[in-house]
Amino acid sequence: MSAEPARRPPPEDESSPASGRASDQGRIDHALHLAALREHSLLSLSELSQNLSASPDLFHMADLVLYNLMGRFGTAKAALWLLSSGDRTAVLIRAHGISQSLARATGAACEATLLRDAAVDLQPVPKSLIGEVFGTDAGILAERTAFEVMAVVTARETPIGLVALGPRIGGLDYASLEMSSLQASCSVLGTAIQNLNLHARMAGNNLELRRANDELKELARLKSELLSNVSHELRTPLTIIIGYLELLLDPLMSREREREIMPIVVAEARKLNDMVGRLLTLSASSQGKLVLQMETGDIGNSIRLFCEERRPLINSYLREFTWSIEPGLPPVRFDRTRFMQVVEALVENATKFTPQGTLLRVVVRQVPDGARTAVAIEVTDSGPGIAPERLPHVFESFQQGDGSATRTIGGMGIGLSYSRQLVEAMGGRIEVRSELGRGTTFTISLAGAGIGAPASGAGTPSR
Amino acid sequence: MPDSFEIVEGPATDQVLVLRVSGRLDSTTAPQLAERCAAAAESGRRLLLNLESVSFIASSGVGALLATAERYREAGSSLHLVALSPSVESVIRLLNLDAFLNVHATEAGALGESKAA
Repeated sequence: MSAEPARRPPPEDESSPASGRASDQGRIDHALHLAALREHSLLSLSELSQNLSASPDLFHMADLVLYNLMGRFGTAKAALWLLSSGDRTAVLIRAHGISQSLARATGAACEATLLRDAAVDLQPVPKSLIGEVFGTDAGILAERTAFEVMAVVTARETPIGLVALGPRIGGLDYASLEMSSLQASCSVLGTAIQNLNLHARMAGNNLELRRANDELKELARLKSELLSNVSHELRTPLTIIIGYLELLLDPLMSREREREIMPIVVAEARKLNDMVGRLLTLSASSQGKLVLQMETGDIGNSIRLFCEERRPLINSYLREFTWSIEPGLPPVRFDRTRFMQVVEALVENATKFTPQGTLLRVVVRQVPDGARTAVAIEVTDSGPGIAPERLPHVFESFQQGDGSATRTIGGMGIGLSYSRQLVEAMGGRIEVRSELGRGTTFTISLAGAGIGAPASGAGTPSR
Repeated sequence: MPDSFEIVEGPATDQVLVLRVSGRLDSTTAPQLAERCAAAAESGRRLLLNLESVSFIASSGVGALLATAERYREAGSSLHLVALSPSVESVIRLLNLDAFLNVHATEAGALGESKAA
């Protein structure tokens, strides 16, 4: 096989029969050479089509297609840009044989043309037309980079990138067959990139699904744990109520004894009612259905009443219970019923988690809050305190330390979680400070409502 | 002819690095070869690729050789191909790449020339 360049046909000399035979041979060699080039080109395109789909990522794909094209046409310069899906800029993926900065600049210069709808119909553009098609800047840069041809990469009737190739080393041309071959390759590349994107999205979706599934499993576990804890907790007052009511069935019971038992039954029934109320609130707020009845008023009085009412009970748990409410507190905006539920939860928390003999104190006072005044409600106990590693998780649902139902101290563990939700829904803050062995203080802050703010009892939907 | 791709380092000097390639040079192995050669470009030595045991070369293999040759040329060095098998040689000659890729028949010949270059 002759190694003559394809574009130079053998010289014709018709003066002698010998030269006639030589020129015939030359034409045959030339034809064979062309045929070999075409075969090479076809095999190359076939190789590209087969192997692109197996490419694991965009950069591997870029190497593959550029090496393939460089080897097909015999050039040492090639570059591939892709339009980023976000800001639609031409991003240089790979460049061979030219400087990265020049390549980037060339891509940027061609961007505007690529973004036009008409770009999808563009055939591969030879050097002489690059300036006309892609703009003056692109033309100038193409000269500097010595790109001979530029072809648009498309996928689903949309331009997604650009390929540029340098001059063919063997002195050959980019003739029409080469241009068709290049365009076919760009089409194959476009499809492969599209598939890669779809694949990546699917993998991303799968990951999302797996995460969501794991979350659901964890929620299911927490739910069943909650259900078992709750049934256990609700049982306790119920058992007491049923026990005493059964006693009351005894016709021989004295009036005096009855009068002793009734308050206990009522107290336990109220406790049960509160528990159910808290559960319903938690359920409503976690579903985003919490509706607060906001009003503007004095918080101090409600807390005083609460403390006076609870003192006998708390004292019976052998706690020393004191409170201090600063006079002249500014009015605040809050949902009275719900807020008292929070205070109750905090006090109950302190009562349950401290041993007998603990001091329990509620303080309500004004505090500066930036340029304004806020009201702080502090519930302090002198109990064992909370470990520093647990402190950040204290307001999470169902956490009491260990999540098992065999806790040594009873309780549903939901009080703190819904307390925070309620307080935040009212526009307040709740914080905790604690020191192991010294005690814990929970502080609720409500911003002062300001002078002259109207007191409203209307229902205000929140969240 | 071995079909599994392998790159083995041959005797090297501080002027020249010799890599002996065997197996198929196709879309899977071409990027590997290019990467290996690129790593060696930093050393500043000339590169000799002995392709005697390359059973088959696809266009991506040719492209990788061209990219490597250009890279070495820009670094002020050069790439030399040695002992091409008939199938490889026919592709290189078909595209008129022998001069650009510095094709030699033997390693000795290539070493002699690259010293002089």
